[in-house]
Amino acid sequence: MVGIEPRVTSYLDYATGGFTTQYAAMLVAAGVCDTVACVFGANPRQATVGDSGAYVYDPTYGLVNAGAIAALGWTRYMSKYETVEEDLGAVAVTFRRHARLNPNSAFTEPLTLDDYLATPYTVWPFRELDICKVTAGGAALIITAADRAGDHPKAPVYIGAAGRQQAPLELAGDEHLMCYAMTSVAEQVYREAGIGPGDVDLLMATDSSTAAVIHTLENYGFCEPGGGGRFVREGGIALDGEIPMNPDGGQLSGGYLLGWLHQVEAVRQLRGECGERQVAGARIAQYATTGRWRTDFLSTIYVAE
Amino acid sequence: MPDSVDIRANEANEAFEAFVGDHELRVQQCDGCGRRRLPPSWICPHCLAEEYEWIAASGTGVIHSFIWYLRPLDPAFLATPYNVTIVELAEGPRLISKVVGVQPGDLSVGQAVEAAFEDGPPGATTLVFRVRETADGAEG
Ligand SMILES: [Zn+2]
Repeated sequence: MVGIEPRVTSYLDYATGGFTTQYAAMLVAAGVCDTVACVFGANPRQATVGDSGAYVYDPTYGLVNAGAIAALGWTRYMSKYETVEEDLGAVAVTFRRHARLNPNSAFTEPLTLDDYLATPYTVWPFRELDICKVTAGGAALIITAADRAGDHPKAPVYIGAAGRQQAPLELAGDEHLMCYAMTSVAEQVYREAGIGPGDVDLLMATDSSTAAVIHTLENYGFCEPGGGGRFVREGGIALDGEIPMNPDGGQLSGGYLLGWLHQVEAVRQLRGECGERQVAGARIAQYATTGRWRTDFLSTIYVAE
Repeated sequence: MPDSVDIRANEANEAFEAFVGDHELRVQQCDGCGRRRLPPSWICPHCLAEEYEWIAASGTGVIHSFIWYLRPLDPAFLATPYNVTIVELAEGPRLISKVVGVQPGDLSVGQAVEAAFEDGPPGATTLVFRVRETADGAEG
């Protein structure tokens, strides 16, 4: 095949990128492969219009779309903690602001909090802008052993640590509704890396819904439980915030290629290639992804050369 | 042995649906650890015991969470608005269902509800819930 004779090829039926790169890193670490190309492409018919997460959970009651599960989680969250509608709005607005600095973004129309609040609900408590749209695109990551990385034209980024936790699809459980399995991933990844959330310069994490961002910030320890909305409203995830998050605009505004673009942006940021949206002095990036209908959680720490 | 697992899972589901067809709500009670569970399963998720009994549920519960579809998110479910509600039964287990006889804005977490049954074509009774009126006439 055009001069390439791979020792191993695999197709992962559903992977948000991180799971693929973890598998690739295992193949390299085990000596099965020297270098692995992880590739992804999608060209959905409904690009930029259709909601992501199409799925029928329960045909009897019409429980459809992964965004609805996130919405059920947010209703539950609202009953536990004080919230305002601007909590979710601030997520959407922040990532749109970031996306406008990224020439590859899918959505670049200006967006204010008032604009957000003026959009209709789709699946209450979510509005149109709380669930990301499918988009078209492709991504590739090359994984190789650290001692071979110098053979490549660009500076490598190192995989410092990884953690992973799967969890059952218990739709009615708070663990599922608010993604508590992330706390196990956090414990694993920070222990292995020997750092804490305060040491992370840049967070690239699943934002297929706005609410997922709040759960991620809390479950990984970037802010206290119940404090995520306020943290975002006060600029905590902006480019100059406490933990700059998804500077490419994320899945909500940058583009939804499952979770692949989060990793692409992590690499570019750690190489200092991001121009106007560059997080100044970024050395440690954390990737945190949610896959398989919220039953698989993974985080990776990427470190600049 | 996946086939035998499937058959037993189906048995539990079919038994639950048959009770609903008779306008009865029952929950599984594990013979091993005594815990009550739904949705139906052939084995206890807590202690792995396979023996259980179907015990009659009071039919009362509270809303654990809910959402309102105000715009269709799937071409197969166009009849908005409709809610999907997680109900926590008085006996403990939680169920995905819906609350009938209400409009957007009427529901809240913790609200008291009770089981009701919607008869469709023969063999297609659906378990639903309605807001429970308390003794003084106010909504619970
Ligand atoms: Zn048991």
